[in-house]
Amino acid sequence: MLASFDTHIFWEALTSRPYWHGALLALELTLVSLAAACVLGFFLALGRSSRFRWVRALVFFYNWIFRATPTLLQLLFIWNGLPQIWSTFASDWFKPFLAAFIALSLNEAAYMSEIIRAGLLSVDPGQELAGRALGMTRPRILRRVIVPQAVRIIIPPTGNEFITLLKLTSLASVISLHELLTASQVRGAADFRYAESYAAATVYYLVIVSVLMAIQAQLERRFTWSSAGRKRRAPVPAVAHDAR
Amino acid sequence: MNDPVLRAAGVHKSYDGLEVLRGVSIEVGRGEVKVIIGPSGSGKSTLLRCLALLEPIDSGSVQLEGDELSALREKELAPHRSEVGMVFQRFNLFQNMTALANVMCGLVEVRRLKKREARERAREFLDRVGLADKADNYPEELSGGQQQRVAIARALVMRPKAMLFDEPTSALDVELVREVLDVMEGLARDGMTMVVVSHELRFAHSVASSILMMDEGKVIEEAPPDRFFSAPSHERTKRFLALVE
Amino acid sequence: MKRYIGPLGILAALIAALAVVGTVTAASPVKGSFKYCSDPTFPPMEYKTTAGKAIGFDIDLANAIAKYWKVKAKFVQTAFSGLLPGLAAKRCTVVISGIFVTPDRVKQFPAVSYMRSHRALVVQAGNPKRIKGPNDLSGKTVAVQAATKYEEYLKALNDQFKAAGKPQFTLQSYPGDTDAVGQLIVGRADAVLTQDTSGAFQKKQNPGKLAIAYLFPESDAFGIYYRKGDTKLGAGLKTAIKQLKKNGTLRKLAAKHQIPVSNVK
Repeated sequence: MLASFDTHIFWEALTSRPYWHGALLALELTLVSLAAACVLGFFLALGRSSRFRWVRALVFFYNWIFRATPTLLQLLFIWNGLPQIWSTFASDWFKPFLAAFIALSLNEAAYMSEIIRAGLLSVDPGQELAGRALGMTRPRILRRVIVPQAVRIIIPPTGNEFITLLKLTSLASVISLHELLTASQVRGAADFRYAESYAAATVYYLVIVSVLMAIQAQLERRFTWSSAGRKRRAPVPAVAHDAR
Repeated sequence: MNDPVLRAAGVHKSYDGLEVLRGVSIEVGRGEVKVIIGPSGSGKSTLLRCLALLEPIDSGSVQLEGDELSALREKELAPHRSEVGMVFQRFNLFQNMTALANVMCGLVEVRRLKKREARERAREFLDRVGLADKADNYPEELSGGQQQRVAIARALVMRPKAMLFDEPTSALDVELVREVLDVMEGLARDGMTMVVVSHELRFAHSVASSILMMDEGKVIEEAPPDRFFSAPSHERTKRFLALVE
Repeated sequence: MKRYIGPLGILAALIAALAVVGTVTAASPVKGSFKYCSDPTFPPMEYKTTAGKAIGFDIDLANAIAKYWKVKAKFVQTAFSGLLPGLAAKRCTVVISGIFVTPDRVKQFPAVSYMRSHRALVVQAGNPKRIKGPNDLSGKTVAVQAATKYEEYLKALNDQFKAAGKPQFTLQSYPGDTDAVGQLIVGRADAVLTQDTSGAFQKKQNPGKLAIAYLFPESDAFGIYYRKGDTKLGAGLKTAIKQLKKNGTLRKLAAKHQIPVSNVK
């Protein structure tokens, strides 16, 4: 049965422009969405422990809505539902990449906020106390003491979220974003060599995730606070998150 | 300069409906070392945190060199806090910074000193507590006694008007207690105004100007060490001393 | 009397034999039932009611063939791009899904054609972007069902525009034909390339919103695809279609779904 797998076609698909472009597009979408999600998620995390009740309620609702509904539904709502309500979203400027970026960022922010919150909570409260005793203001304490320590905790689960997000970009194929999955589908439909077409796409996903894992390992080492020796610490367990 | 460095008058404080401080008054003059002892739950740590301006009080007043500070809002309090140094039972060194960076932190972030100048001053104070060679180590690489000494240097480098110690040796292994107490005794000899919550009675006896006994949210006795230990007037003081001796 | 029992008996046996032979001529190449893959996003050939039931010309055709063979037809919903892979993977016996017979497809899977029709450019009612033919698509936004021959054609057209120095159109591809038409209704797309059958249906479904701007002169054939090794099945399909055309079943079905009867000649 393996005789039916044409490595020449596989290689040709692997090195073809639509695949290469599609993979870059998927990676680009993942990176910008994750970045935006981290920023928004940080403020959502802070909002969860706000003094104001309405802020806490707002954050709760946000997380509730975006975690409880399928990402695909959110994506389709933004692409097909919005123009129905407000016709400006039917114009040329609202491209599939932009729509996917918005949907994925908003969605991912809800998950990141929980991860970041857990990270902030994991920092010993004595750290903030000592900072205040020195006369530091809260924003400064956050920046210099708490966030760096929280970052160490949130690196592993964030790496996880990157991987999830990369796979979610394939959903954007249904709103006409010509990313990696689309490339493999079109290729397969053109000459019916499905195994080769899909295998080539798989390789790209694998490579991207492997590079991420290497970067994550580097980052984790950088945030280990012991001098020159950088001895191996026990791995920090990733915070569990809901499946999509 | 007739005002005492630190003064608390008639301080009341409650947590979640439980009254922890029931009208506490204390005055600490320049160069005085006051040691507070008492059973757990008596409000000693809370009093210390109020003096450090870390906790708001319900009524009464807290004054630093005559300035009424208890009514100030959070934002205005921050700079004043740096004038009162605080050392915690669990050291609370910043885990993500080296010993040197810890000591520099207050100078850079609060006093807005340039890094170079801050580094020099920080080295000087690390040396004073005998840890110049540990400047580039992270807290997790230091023993408890070393960490506490760094914490003391971190507070001292700000040139505070008074230093507060909340059970500074309670979390230390027995053999590490001496090195910290030595530093504290040195500070006292140099004329630092100090308030110490501690169980180290021999230290108290040798260094304190007076000793206060707290119980159930009130100061029930204050006396110079000789009189306090040999002839305590209060019944509860006698009982407590008998337990701790 | 006794003299007639013999010949009468032989006559009875002959009649019985003839009856059996008679039914054998409509013999089914499949036993009991067969599965057919179809993507119900291409009305009126196959689509779903709001209640989620699959209906359409192809569903009726499958059932008509099944009736002819005296077996049952089972509908297997499959996305368009998964139809032929599904056939290869033996998830179904045939594909009946408004899918064209084209040389490159037939190389892998033989097909029996059953209907001809024309491609169409569907636009918003009133044709606001003045699209009179494929050349007018230059610089517009065109939506299409993904992985179809329509998409291939449009991509080639875009390349032609580029070579000729004309502005290309933005090509958006969606999972279903209905999704592509949806973009017209929402106002995002200026035109959709699809089949006249689909265009006519959508126009009727959305009165006043759509129009057919252009009908391609060439016609395409819809075909039933099956696997290469199933020669008996292929022969059976050819016979069945021939019969259904002859006895007017196809004409009736076309009329039922408002498809021009000439398409099923």
